[in-house]
Amino acid sequence: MSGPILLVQNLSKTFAGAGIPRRGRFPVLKDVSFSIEEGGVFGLVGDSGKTTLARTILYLDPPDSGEVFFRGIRLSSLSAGKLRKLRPRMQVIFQDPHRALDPRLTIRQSMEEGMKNLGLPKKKRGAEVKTLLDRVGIPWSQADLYPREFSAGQKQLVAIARALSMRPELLILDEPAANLDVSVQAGVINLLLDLKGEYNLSYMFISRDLDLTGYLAATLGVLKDGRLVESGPAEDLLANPQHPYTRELVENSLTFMDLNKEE
Amino acid sequence: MSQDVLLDIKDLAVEFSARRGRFQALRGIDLTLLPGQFHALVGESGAGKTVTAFTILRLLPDSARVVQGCVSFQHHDLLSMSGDVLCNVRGREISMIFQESAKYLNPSMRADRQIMESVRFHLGYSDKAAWEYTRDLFAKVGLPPDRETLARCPLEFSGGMRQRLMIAMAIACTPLLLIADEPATALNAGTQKQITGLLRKIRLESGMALLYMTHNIGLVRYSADYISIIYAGKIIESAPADILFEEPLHPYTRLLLACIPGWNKRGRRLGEIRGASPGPGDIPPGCAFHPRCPLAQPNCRETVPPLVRMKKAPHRCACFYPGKEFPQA
Repeated sequence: MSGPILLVQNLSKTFAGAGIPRRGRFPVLKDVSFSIEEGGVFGLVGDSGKTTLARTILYLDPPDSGEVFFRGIRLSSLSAGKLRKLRPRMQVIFQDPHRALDPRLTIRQSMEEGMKNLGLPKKKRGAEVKTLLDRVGIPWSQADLYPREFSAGQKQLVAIARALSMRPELLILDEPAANLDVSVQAGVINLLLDLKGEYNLSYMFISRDLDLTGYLAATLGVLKDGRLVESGPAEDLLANPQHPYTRELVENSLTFMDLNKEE
Repeated sequence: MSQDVLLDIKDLAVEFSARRGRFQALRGIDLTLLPGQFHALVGESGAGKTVTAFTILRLLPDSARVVQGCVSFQHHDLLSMSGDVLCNVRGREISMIFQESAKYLNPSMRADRQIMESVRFHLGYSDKAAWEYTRDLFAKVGLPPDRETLARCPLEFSGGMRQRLMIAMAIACTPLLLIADEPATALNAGTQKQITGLLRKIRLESGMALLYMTHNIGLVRYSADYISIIYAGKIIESAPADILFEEPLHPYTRLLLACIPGWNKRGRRLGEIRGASPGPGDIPPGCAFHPRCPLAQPNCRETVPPLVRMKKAPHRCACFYPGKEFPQA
Protein backbone atom coordinates (compact mmCIF):
# COMPACT_ATOMS: atom_id res chain seq x y z
CA MET A 1 0.00 0.00 0.00
CA SER A 2 1.35 3.40 -0.87
CA GLY A 3 0.34 6.68 0.69
CA PRO A 4 1.59 8.28 3.85
CA ILE A 5 2.75 6.10 6.73
CA LEU A 6 1.47 8.71 9.17
CA LEU A 7 -1.32 11.16 8.61
CA VAL A 8 -2.18 13.72 11.25
CA GLN A 9 -5.37 15.71 10.82
CA ASN A 10 -6.47 18.79 12.77
CA LEU A 11 -4.96 17.61 16.03
CA SER A 12 -5.78 19.73 19.08
CA LYS A 13 -4.87 19.22 22.69
CA THR A 14 -5.40 21.23 25.84
CA PHE A 15 -4.11 20.80 29.36
CA ALA A 16 -5.86 21.83 32.53
CA GLY A 17 -4.76 25.29 33.64
CA ALA A 18 -2.75 25.93 36.79
CA GLY A 19 -4.08 26.86 40.20
CA ILE A 20 -6.59 25.50 42.66
CA PRO A 21 -9.29 25.28 41.53
CA ARG A 22 -7.93 24.69 38.02
CA ARG A 23 -8.38 27.74 35.89
CA GLY A 24 -9.73 26.84 32.48
CA ARG A 25 -8.00 24.85 29.78
CA PHE A 26 -4.62 25.71 28.35
CA PRO A 27 -4.27 24.96 24.64
CA VAL A 28 -1.02 23.23 23.72
CA LEU A 29 -1.69 22.02 20.19
CA LYS A 30 -3.99 23.87 17.83
CA ASP A 31 -5.21 22.25 14.67
CA VAL A 32 -1.99 20.52 13.65
CA SER A 33 -2.02 18.62 10.34
CA PHE A 34 0.82 16.98 8.43
CA SER A 35 1.81 13.67 6.90
CA ILE A 36 4.92 11.55 6.63
CA GLU A 37 5.56 9.59 3.45
CA GLU A 38 6.84 6.05 3.49
CA GLY A 39 10.60 6.19 4.06
CA GLY A 40 10.48 9.94 4.69
CA VAL A 41 12.04 12.09 7.37
CA PHE A 42 9.76 14.74 8.81
CA GLY A 43 11.62 17.28 10.93
CA LEU A 44 9.73 19.25 13.54
CA VAL A 45 11.27 22.41 14.98
CA GLY A 46 9.82 25.16 17.07
CA ASP A 47 9.01 26.14 20.61
CA SER A 48 6.54 24.55 23.00
CA GLY A 49 4.35 21.58 22.17
CA LYS A 50 6.83 19.37 20.31
CA THR A 51 6.92 16.56 22.86
CA THR A 52 3.18 16.84 23.44
CA LEU A 53 2.66 16.36 19.74
CA ALA A 54 4.80 13.21 19.80
CA ARG A 55 2.89 11.82 22.77
CA THR A 56 -0.43 12.67 21.20
CA ILE A 57 0.44 10.97 17.93
CA LEU A 58 1.37 7.83 19.85
CA TYR A 59 -1.89 8.06 21.80
CA LEU A 60 0.05 8.13 25.05
CA ASP A 61 -2.06 11.25 25.60
CA PRO A 62 -5.10 11.06 23.32
CA PRO A 63 -5.95 14.32 21.54
CA ASP A 64 -9.02 16.43 22.36
CA SER A 65 -9.97 16.49 18.72
CA GLY A 66 -8.51 15.51 15.37
CA GLU A 67 -7.36 12.19 13.99
CA VAL A 68 -4.13 10.23 13.64
CA PHE A 69 -3.87 7.59 10.91
CA PHE A 70 -1.03 5.10 10.93
CA ARG A 71 -0.90 3.32 7.58
CA GLY A 72 -4.52 4.23 7.07
CA ILE A 73 -5.59 2.87 10.47
CA ARG A 74 -7.49 5.44 12.48
CA LEU A 75 -6.01 5.26 15.98
CA SER A 76 -9.10 6.66 17.69
CA SER A 77 -11.09 3.68 16.39
CA LEU A 78 -8.86 1.11 18.12
CA SER A 79 -9.53 -0.57 21.43
CA ALA A 80 -6.82 -0.39 24.09
CA GLY A 81 -5.74 -3.93 23.23
CA LYS A 82 -5.51 -3.31 19.50
CA LEU A 83 -3.62 -0.09 20.15
CA ARG A 84 -1.10 -2.01 22.24
CA LYS A 85 -0.64 -4.46 19.38
CA LEU A 86 0.05 -1.58 17.03
CA ARG A 87 2.48 0.25 19.27
CA PRO A 88 5.59 -1.80 18.41
CA ARG A 89 5.29 -0.56 14.85
CA MET A 90 5.68 3.05 15.92
CA GLN A 91 8.52 3.40 18.40
CA VAL A 92 9.70 6.50 20.20
CA ILE A 93 13.09 7.58 21.44
CA PHE A 94 13.06 10.28 24.07
CA GLN A 95 15.54 12.97 24.87
CA ASP A 96 16.67 11.62 28.19
CA PRO A 97 18.23 8.17 27.86
CA HIS A 98 18.72 7.95 31.64
CA ARG A 99 15.02 7.78 32.15
CA ALA A 100 14.23 5.61 29.14
CA LEU A 101 15.89 2.50 30.56
CA ASP A 102 14.84 0.65 33.70
CA PRO A 103 17.75 1.00 36.15
CA ARG A 104 16.98 -2.41 37.69
CA LEU A 105 17.36 -4.34 34.45
CA THR A 106 20.54 -5.13 32.57
CA ILE A 107 20.43 -3.80 29.06
CA ARG A 108 19.98 -7.34 27.74
CA GLN A 109 16.91 -7.79 29.98
CA SER A 110 15.60 -4.39 28.95
CA MET A 111 15.85 -5.37 25.33
CA GLU A 112 14.33 -8.82 25.79
CA GLU A 113 11.37 -7.44 27.71
CA GLY A 114 9.72 -6.03 24.61
CA MET A 115 10.56 -9.05 22.48
CA LYS A 116 8.83 -11.31 24.99
CA ASN A 117 5.66 -9.37 24.36
CA LEU A 118 6.13 -9.85 20.66
CA GLY A 119 6.23 -13.57 21.40
CA LEU A 120 9.75 -14.30 20.25
CA PRO A 121 11.21 -17.57 21.59
CA LYS A 122 14.08 -17.30 24.03
CA LYS A 123 16.83 -18.46 21.69
CA LYS A 124 15.83 -16.02 19.00
CA ARG A 125 15.70 -13.20 21.50
CA GLY A 126 19.31 -13.75 22.51
CA ALA A 127 20.49 -13.77 18.94
CA GLU A 128 18.47 -10.68 18.11
CA VAL A 129 19.88 -8.74 21.06
CA LYS A 130 23.38 -9.66 19.95
CA THR A 131 22.78 -8.57 16.36
CA LEU A 132 21.24 -5.27 17.37
CA LEU A 133 23.81 -4.34 20.01
CA ASP A 134 26.46 -5.21 17.51
CA ARG A 135 24.83 -2.97 14.95
CA VAL A 136 24.70 0.09 17.18
CA GLY A 137 28.24 -0.54 18.38
CA ILE A 138 27.79 -1.78 21.94
CA PRO A 139 30.15 -4.70 22.63
CA TRP A 140 28.37 -7.97 23.43
CA SER A 141 30.54 -8.30 26.53
CA GLN A 142 28.64 -5.35 28.02
CA ALA A 143 25.17 -6.78 27.54
CA ASP A 144 24.83 -7.80 31.17
CA LEU A 145 25.73 -4.41 32.58
CA TYR A 146 23.20 -2.00 34.07
CA PRO A 147 22.28 1.32 32.44
CA ARG A 148 24.18 3.31 35.08
CA GLU A 149 27.42 1.75 33.84
CA PHE A 150 27.06 3.36 30.43
CA SER A 151 27.67 6.90 29.28
CA ALA A 152 24.76 9.03 28.08
CA GLY A 153 25.68 8.44 24.44
CA GLN A 154 25.87 4.68 24.90
CA LYS A 155 22.52 4.65 26.69
CA GLN A 156 21.00 6.43 23.73
CA LEU A 157 22.47 3.72 21.46
CA VAL A 158 20.89 1.05 23.66
CA ALA A 159 17.55 2.87 23.48
CA ILE A 160 17.84 2.87 19.68
CA ALA A 161 18.71 -0.84 19.62
CA ARG A 162 15.73 -1.58 21.85
CA ALA A 163 13.39 0.39 19.64
CA LEU A 164 14.67 -1.53 16.62
CA SER A 165 14.00 -4.84 18.36
CA MET A 166 10.30 -4.10 18.01
CA ARG A 167 10.74 -4.07 14.22
CA PRO A 168 9.16 -0.64 13.92
CA GLU A 169 8.13 1.07 10.73
CA LEU A 170 8.07 4.58 12.16
CA LEU A 171 10.50 6.00 14.69
CA ILE A 172 9.60 9.16 16.55
CA LEU A 173 12.86 10.71 17.67
CA ASP A 174 12.28 13.37 20.30
CA GLU A 175 15.53 15.32 20.68
CA PRO A 176 17.54 12.10 20.55
CA ALA A 177 20.86 13.92 20.61
CA ALA A 178 20.14 17.06 22.62
CA ASN A 179 22.05 16.09 25.75
CA LEU A 180 25.05 14.63 23.98
CA ASP A 181 28.42 16.12 23.16
CA VAL A 182 28.83 17.24 19.57
CA SER A 183 31.13 14.37 18.58
CA VAL A 184 28.85 11.79 20.20
CA GLN A 185 25.81 13.42 18.61
CA ALA A 186 27.43 13.10 15.18
CA GLY A 187 27.91 9.37 15.74
CA VAL A 188 24.27 8.88 16.75
CA ILE A 189 23.00 10.89 13.78
CA ASN A 190 25.17 8.98 11.31
CA LEU A 191 23.92 5.71 12.78
CA LEU A 192 20.29 6.80 12.52
CA LEU A 193 20.74 7.71 8.87
CA ASP A 194 22.35 4.33 8.12
CA LEU A 195 19.66 2.39 10.00
CA LYS A 196 16.91 4.15 8.13
CA GLY A 197 17.87 2.43 4.88
CA GLU A 198 18.75 -0.91 6.44
CA TYR A 199 15.49 -1.30 8.35
CA ASN A 200 13.13 0.56 6.00
CA LEU A 201 12.25 3.15 8.58
CA SER A 202 10.42 6.44 8.42
CA TYR A 203 11.38 9.12 10.92
CA MET A 204 9.69 11.93 12.69
CA PHE A 205 12.61 13.94 14.02
CA ILE A 206 11.90 16.49 16.72
CA SER A 207 14.52 19.01 17.71
CA ARG A 208 14.86 22.66 18.57
CA ASP A 209 18.15 22.71 16.66
CA LEU A 210 17.38 23.83 13.12
CA ASP A 211 20.96 23.22 12.00
CA LEU A 212 20.54 19.55 12.87
CA THR A 213 16.93 19.11 11.77
CA GLY A 214 17.53 20.92 8.51
CA TYR A 215 20.53 18.68 7.91
CA LEU A 216 18.61 15.43 7.96
CA ALA A 217 14.92 16.10 7.29
CA ALA A 218 13.35 15.97 3.84
CA THR A 219 10.24 17.78 5.03
CA LEU A 220 10.13 20.39 7.78
CA GLY A 221 7.37 21.62 10.01
CA VAL A 222 7.59 24.64 12.29
CA LEU A 223 5.57 24.65 15.48
CA LYS A 224 4.92 27.99 17.13
CA ASP A 225 2.62 28.37 20.13
CA GLY A 226 1.07 24.99 19.37
CA ARG A 227 0.28 25.80 15.76
CA LEU A 228 2.07 24.40 12.74
CA VAL A 229 2.82 27.75 11.15
CA GLU A 230 4.77 26.48 8.18
CA SER A 231 5.66 23.18 6.59
CA GLY A 232 7.06 21.96 3.33
CA PRO A 233 10.10 20.47 1.62
CA ALA A 234 13.14 21.33 3.72
CA GLU A 235 15.12 22.94 0.94
CA ASP A 236 12.34 25.34 -0.04
CA LEU A 237 11.47 26.17 3.51
CA LEU A 238 15.07 26.93 4.46
CA ALA A 239 15.79 28.90 1.29
CA ASN A 240 12.58 30.84 1.41
CA PRO A 241 10.95 30.94 4.84
CA GLN A 242 7.51 32.56 4.78
CA HIS A 243 6.41 32.91 8.39
CA PRO A 244 8.26 35.51 10.50
CA TYR A 245 9.01 32.93 13.17
CA THR A 246 10.55 30.55 10.64
CA ARG A 247 12.59 33.39 9.24
CA GLU A 248 13.84 34.19 12.72
CA LEU A 249 14.81 30.54 13.28
CA VAL A 250 16.59 30.34 9.95
CA GLU A 251 18.44 33.61 10.41
CA ASN A 252 19.53 32.63 13.90
CA SER A 253 20.93 29.32 12.78
CA LEU A 254 24.61 28.76 12.50
CA THR A 255 24.36 27.46 8.94
CA PHE A 256 22.70 30.68 7.82
CA MET A 257 25.50 32.75 9.34
CA ASP A 258 28.05 30.45 7.69
CA LEU A 259 26.49 30.70 4.27
CA ASN A 260 26.24 34.45 4.38
CA LYS A 261 29.77 34.84 5.54
CA GLU A 262 31.12 32.87 2.63
CA GLU A 263 29.29 34.95 0.07
CA MET B 1 54.59 42.07 27.52
CA SER B 2 52.41 41.47 30.49
CA GLN B 3 51.56 45.13 30.75
CA ASP B 4 47.81 44.71 30.77
CA VAL B 5 46.99 41.08 31.22
CA LEU B 6 43.86 40.64 33.29
CA LEU B 7 43.94 36.96 34.06
CA ASP B 8 46.92 34.73 33.59
CA ILE B 9 46.73 31.01 34.21
CA LYS B 10 50.02 29.18 33.96
CA ASP B 11 50.53 25.43 33.90
CA LEU B 12 47.60 24.80 36.22
CA ALA B 13 47.04 21.25 37.37
CA VAL B 14 44.24 20.15 39.67
CA GLU B 15 43.79 16.74 41.19
CA PHE B 16 40.81 15.13 42.85
CA SER B 17 41.17 12.40 45.42
CA ALA B 18 38.46 9.80 45.46
CA ARG B 19 38.12 6.39 47.01
CA ARG B 20 39.67 4.75 43.97
CA GLY B 21 42.71 6.98 43.95
CA ARG B 22 43.65 10.31 42.49
CA PHE B 23 42.33 11.78 39.30
CA GLN B 24 43.87 14.55 37.33
CA ALA B 25 41.13 16.91 36.26
CA LEU B 26 43.43 19.60 34.88
CA ARG B 27 46.86 18.73 33.54
CA GLY B 28 48.57 22.01 32.86
CA ILE B 29 46.23 24.71 31.63
CA ASP B 30 47.65 27.88 30.08
CA LEU B 31 45.21 30.69 29.51
CA THR B 32 45.61 34.43 29.16
CA LEU B 33 42.82 36.96 29.17
CA LEU B 34 43.21 40.59 28.25
CA PRO B 35 40.87 43.22 29.71
CA GLY B 36 37.58 43.31 27.86
CA GLN B 37 38.24 40.14 25.91
CA PHE B 38 35.56 37.55 25.14
CA HIS B 39 37.38 34.27 25.53
CA ALA B 40 35.51 31.02 24.95
CA LEU B 41 36.75 27.81 26.49
CA VAL B 42 35.28 25.00 24.44
CA GLY B 43 35.32 21.36 25.45
CA GLU B 44 33.15 18.30 25.78
CA SER B 45 31.77 17.08 29.07
CA GLY B 46 34.44 16.10 31.53
CA ALA B 47 37.17 18.06 29.77
CA GLY B 48 37.72 20.37 32.75
CA LYS B 49 35.78 23.53 31.96
CA THR B 50 33.96 23.80 35.25
CA VAL B 51 37.03 22.81 37.26
CA THR B 52 38.93 25.65 35.59
CA ALA B 53 36.18 28.11 36.53
CA PHE B 54 35.99 26.86 40.09
CA THR B 55 39.75 27.01 40.50
CA ILE B 56 39.87 30.66 39.47
CA LEU B 57 37.27 31.56 42.09
CA ARG B 58 38.63 29.08 44.65
CA LEU B 59 35.33 27.26 44.84
CA LEU B 60 36.79 23.77 44.55
CA PRO B 61 35.58 21.15 47.02
CA ASP B 62 37.90 19.81 49.70
CA SER B 63 38.64 16.70 47.69
CA ALA B 64 40.44 18.79 45.09
CA ARG B 65 43.99 20.05 45.29
CA VAL B 66 45.95 22.41 43.09
CA VAL B 67 49.08 20.43 42.27
CA GLN B 68 51.00 23.03 40.34
CA GLY B 69 50.71 26.26 38.44
CA CYS B 70 49.37 29.67 39.28
CA VAL B 71 46.39 31.84 38.61
CA SER B 72 47.10 35.53 38.71
CA PHE B 73 44.49 38.21 38.40
CA GLN B 74 45.86 41.68 37.80
CA HIS B 75 49.21 40.33 38.95
CA HIS B 76 47.85 39.10 42.26
CA ASP B 77 48.04 35.41 42.94
CA LEU B 78 44.48 34.20 43.50
CA LEU B 79 45.55 30.82 44.80
CA SER B 80 47.43 32.17 47.78
CA MET B 81 45.11 35.07 48.55
CA SER B 82 43.73 35.23 52.08
CA GLY B 83 40.03 34.65 52.64
CA ASP B 84 39.30 38.28 53.52
CA VAL B 85 40.87 39.65 50.40
CA LEU B 86 39.25 36.97 48.31
CA CYS B 87 35.85 38.05 49.62
CA ASN B 88 36.43 41.45 48.09
CA VAL B 89 37.46 39.95 44.78
CA ARG B 90 34.64 37.49 44.43
CA GLY B 91 31.49 39.16 43.23
CA ARG B 92 33.27 42.51 43.01
CA GLU B 93 36.17 41.99 40.59
CA ILE B 94 35.36 38.51 39.33
CA SER B 95 31.89 37.09 39.26
CA MET B 96 30.38 34.00 37.83
CA ILE B 97 27.17 32.68 36.38
CA PHE B 98 26.44 29.01 36.53
CA GLN B 99 24.81 26.52 34.26
CA GLU B 100 21.95 25.56 36.53
CA SER B 101 20.56 28.88 37.59
CA ALA B 102 17.96 27.21 39.77
CA LYS B 103 20.65 25.64 41.94
CA TYR B 104 22.51 28.83 42.66
CA LEU B 105 19.65 31.17 43.46
CA ASN B 106 17.61 31.12 46.60
CA PRO B 107 14.27 29.96 45.23
CA SER B 108 12.13 31.61 47.85
CA MET B 109 13.96 34.86 48.53
CA ARG B 110 12.75 37.94 46.69
CA ALA B 111 14.77 38.55 43.54
CA ASP B 112 15.56 42.16 44.37
CA ARG B 113 16.86 41.31 47.85
CA GLN B 114 19.25 38.72 46.42
CA ILE B 115 20.85 41.33 44.23
CA MET B 116 20.76 44.10 46.82
CA GLU B 117 22.75 41.89 49.18
CA SER B 118 25.93 42.14 47.14
CA VAL B 119 25.34 45.74 46.11
CA ARG B 120 25.16 46.78 49.76
CA PHE B 121 28.13 44.65 50.74
CA HIS B 122 30.51 45.57 47.94
CA LEU B 123 29.41 49.05 46.98
CA GLY B 124 28.12 50.23 50.36
CA TYR B 125 24.81 51.50 49.02
CA SER B 126 21.90 52.34 51.28
CA ASP B 127 18.78 50.20 51.02
CA LYS B 128 16.97 52.72 48.88
CA ALA B 129 19.87 53.36 46.54
CA ALA B 130 20.52 49.63 46.24
CA TRP B 131 16.91 49.00 45.31
CA GLU B 132 16.91 51.68 42.65
CA TYR B 133 20.19 50.35 41.32
CA THR B 134 18.69 46.86 41.20
CA ARG B 135 15.72 48.14 39.25
CA ASP B 136 18.07 49.60 36.65
CA LEU B 137 19.90 46.30 36.49
CA PHE B 138 16.64 44.51 35.78
CA ALA B 139 16.06 46.76 32.81
CA LYS B 140 19.59 46.20 31.61
CA VAL B 141 19.29 42.41 31.49
CA GLY B 142 15.84 42.52 29.93
CA LEU B 143 13.67 41.75 32.95
CA PRO B 144 10.60 43.93 33.46
CA PRO B 145 11.80 46.61 35.92
CA ASP B 146 8.54 46.97 37.80
CA ARG B 147 7.87 46.70 41.51
CA GLU B 148 5.93 43.48 41.02
CA THR B 149 8.62 41.53 39.15
CA LEU B 150 11.34 42.74 41.49
CA ALA B 151 9.44 41.38 44.45
CA ARG B 152 8.92 37.96 42.96
CA CYS B 153 10.97 34.91 43.86
CA PRO B 154 13.19 32.97 41.42
CA LEU B 155 10.78 30.09 41.95
CA GLU B 156 8.24 31.99 39.87
CA PHE B 157 10.68 32.74 37.05
CA SER B 158 11.20 30.75 33.87
CA GLY B 159 14.63 29.29 33.09
CA GLY B 160 15.54 32.17 30.79
CA MET B 161 14.40 34.75 33.35
CA ARG B 162 16.40 33.05 36.11
CA GLN B 163 19.50 33.14 33.94
CA ARG B 164 18.89 36.86 33.36
CA LEU B 165 18.51 37.36 37.09
CA MET B 166 21.81 35.59 37.68
CA ILE B 167 23.46 37.79 35.07
CA ALA B 168 22.04 40.87 36.81
CA MET B 169 23.50 39.64 40.07
CA ALA B 170 26.85 38.89 38.47
CA ILE B 171 27.24 42.29 36.82
CA ALA B 172 25.81 44.24 39.76
CA CYS B 173 29.23 45.37 40.94
CA THR B 174 30.66 45.90 37.43
CA PRO B 175 33.29 43.19 37.67
CA LEU B 176 36.40 43.18 35.51
CA LEU B 177 35.92 39.53 34.70
CA LEU B 178 32.75 37.53 34.32
CA ILE B 179 33.01 33.77 34.17
CA ALA B 180 30.05 32.11 32.49
CA ASP B 181 29.92 28.34 32.81
CA GLU B 182 27.54 26.98 30.17
CA PRO B 183 25.08 29.81 30.88
CA ALA B 184 22.80 28.88 28.00
CA THR B 185 22.99 25.11 27.78
CA ALA B 186 19.78 24.27 29.57
CA LEU B 187 17.77 26.80 27.58
CA ASN B 188 16.11 26.46 24.21
CA ALA B 189 17.82 27.60 21.04
CA GLY B 190 16.24 31.04 20.78
CA THR B 191 16.89 31.87 24.42
CA GLN B 192 20.47 30.58 24.11
CA LYS B 193 21.18 33.14 21.44
CA GLN B 194 19.48 35.88 23.45
CA ILE B 195 21.52 35.13 26.57
CA THR B 196 24.79 34.95 24.65
CA GLY B 197 23.86 38.16 22.85
CA LEU B 198 23.01 39.84 26.15
CA LEU B 199 26.37 38.89 27.62
CA ARG B 200 28.10 40.23 24.57
CA LYS B 201 26.20 43.50 24.77
CA ILE B 202 26.93 43.95 28.45
CA ARG B 203 30.58 43.22 27.83
CA LEU B 204 30.79 45.86 25.12
CA GLU B 205 29.06 48.44 27.31
CA SER B 206 30.97 47.83 30.49
CA GLY B 207 34.31 46.70 29.12
CA MET B 208 34.49 43.64 31.31
CA ALA B 209 36.24 40.52 30.14
CA LEU B 210 34.23 37.37 29.63
CA LEU B 211 35.43 33.82 30.05
CA TYR B 212 32.72 31.67 28.54
CA MET B 213 32.76 27.90 29.00
CA THR B 214 30.67 25.94 26.54
CA HIS B 215 30.52 22.65 24.71
CA ASN B 216 28.76 24.27 21.78
CA ILE B 217 31.45 25.74 19.59
CA GLY B 218 28.85 27.01 17.13
CA LEU B 219 27.28 29.27 19.73
CA VAL B 220 30.45 31.30 20.28
CA ARG B 221 31.68 31.28 16.71
CA TYR B 222 30.51 34.78 15.92
CA SER B 223 30.64 36.30 19.37
CA ALA B 224 33.97 35.27 20.89
CA ASP B 225 37.25 37.06 20.19
CA TYR B 226 39.32 34.13 21.18
CA ILE B 227 38.65 30.41 21.44
CA SER B 228 40.59 27.80 23.38
CA ILE B 229 39.82 24.13 22.97
CA ILE B 230 40.22 21.97 26.05
CA TYR B 231 40.54 18.20 25.88
CA ALA B 232 41.12 15.88 28.84
CA GLY B 233 42.31 18.67 31.12
CA LYS B 234 44.66 20.37 28.70
CA ILE B 235 44.32 23.21 26.22
CA ILE B 236 45.12 21.72 22.85
CA GLU B 237 44.49 24.68 20.60
CA SER B 238 43.99 28.36 21.11
CA ALA B 239 43.45 31.06 18.54
CA PRO B 240 41.38 34.11 17.59
CA ALA B 241 37.92 32.82 16.64
CA ASP B 242 38.10 33.51 12.92
CA ILE B 243 41.53 31.92 12.55
CA LEU B 244 40.42 28.85 14.49
CA PHE B 245 37.48 28.30 12.18
CA GLU B 246 39.35 29.05 8.98
CA GLU B 247 42.49 27.15 9.79
CA PRO B 248 42.02 24.68 12.60
CA LEU B 249 45.25 22.79 13.13
CA HIS B 250 44.77 20.24 15.88
CA PRO B 251 43.18 16.99 14.62
CA TYR B 252 40.64 17.11 17.44
CA THR B 253 39.52 20.62 16.54
CA ARG B 254 39.27 19.70 12.88
CA LEU B 255 37.21 16.58 13.56
CA LEU B 256 35.04 18.48 16.03
CA LEU B 257 34.19 21.09 13.42
CA ALA B 258 33.27 18.34 10.97
CA CYS B 259 30.82 16.95 13.55
CA ILE B 260 28.70 20.09 13.62
CA PRO B 261 25.52 19.57 11.59
CA GLY B 262 24.19 22.19 9.27
CA TRP B 263 21.77 22.26 6.37
CA ASN B 264 24.54 23.12 3.98
CA LYS B 265 25.88 19.61 4.71
CA ARG B 266 22.73 17.80 3.58
CA GLY B 267 23.43 14.45 1.99
CA ARG B 268 26.99 14.38 3.31
CA ARG B 269 27.97 12.32 6.32
CA LEU B 270 28.92 14.17 9.46
CA GLY B 271 32.43 13.73 10.76
CA GLU B 272 32.95 11.19 13.47
CA ILE B 273 35.54 10.81 16.17
CA ARG B 274 36.10 7.18 16.99
CA GLY B 275 36.05 6.13 20.63
CA ALA B 276 35.06 8.38 23.51
CA SER B 277 36.65 11.17 25.53
CA PRO B 278 38.76 9.68 28.30
CA GLY B 279 37.53 10.12 31.86
CA PRO B 280 39.89 11.72 34.37
CA GLY B 281 40.85 8.25 35.64
CA ASP B 282 42.11 6.83 32.37
CA ILE B 283 43.93 9.53 30.47
CA PRO B 284 46.29 7.87 28.00
CA PRO B 285 50.00 8.68 28.19
CA GLY B 286 51.54 11.00 25.65
CA CYS B 287 49.02 13.08 23.74
CA ALA B 288 45.66 12.34 25.39
CA PHE B 289 43.97 12.34 22.01
CA HIS B 290 46.25 9.78 20.32
CA PRO B 291 43.97 6.71 20.65
CA ARG B 292 41.29 8.54 18.66
CA CYS B 293 43.56 10.43 16.31
CA PRO B 294 43.93 9.41 12.66
CA LEU B 295 47.38 11.00 12.55
CA ALA B 296 48.83 9.29 15.62
CA GLN B 297 52.47 8.20 15.35
CA PRO B 298 54.61 6.31 17.89
CA ASN B 299 55.97 9.51 19.43
CA CYS B 300 52.42 10.74 20.16
CA ARG B 301 52.02 7.78 22.50
CA GLU B 302 55.10 8.64 24.50
CA THR B 303 55.55 12.37 24.62
CA VAL B 304 53.03 15.01 25.55
CA PRO B 305 53.06 17.63 22.79
CA PRO B 306 53.53 21.13 24.23
CA LEU B 307 51.24 24.03 23.39
CA VAL B 308 53.43 26.00 21.00
CA ARG B 309 53.09 29.00 18.76
CA MET B 310 52.16 28.35 15.16
CA LYS B 311 53.19 30.40 12.14
CA LYS B 312 50.27 32.82 12.40
CA ALA B 313 51.19 34.71 15.53
CA PRO B 314 48.64 34.22 18.31
CA HIS B 315 47.63 30.75 17.15
CA ARG B 316 48.86 28.01 19.48
CA CYS B 317 48.43 24.28 19.12
CA ALA B 318 49.58 21.20 21.03
CA CYS B 319 50.23 18.64 18.31
CA PHE B 320 53.31 17.19 16.63
CA TYR B 321 51.58 17.17 13.25
CA PRO B 322 49.43 20.30 13.14
CA GLY B 323 47.34 20.65 10.03
CA LYS B 324 48.63 17.46 8.42
CA GLU B 325 46.26 15.84 5.94
CA PHE B 326 44.19 12.95 7.27
CA PRO B 327 44.87 9.56 5.67
CA GLN B 328 41.98 8.27 3.53
CA ALA B 329 39.97 5.72 5.43
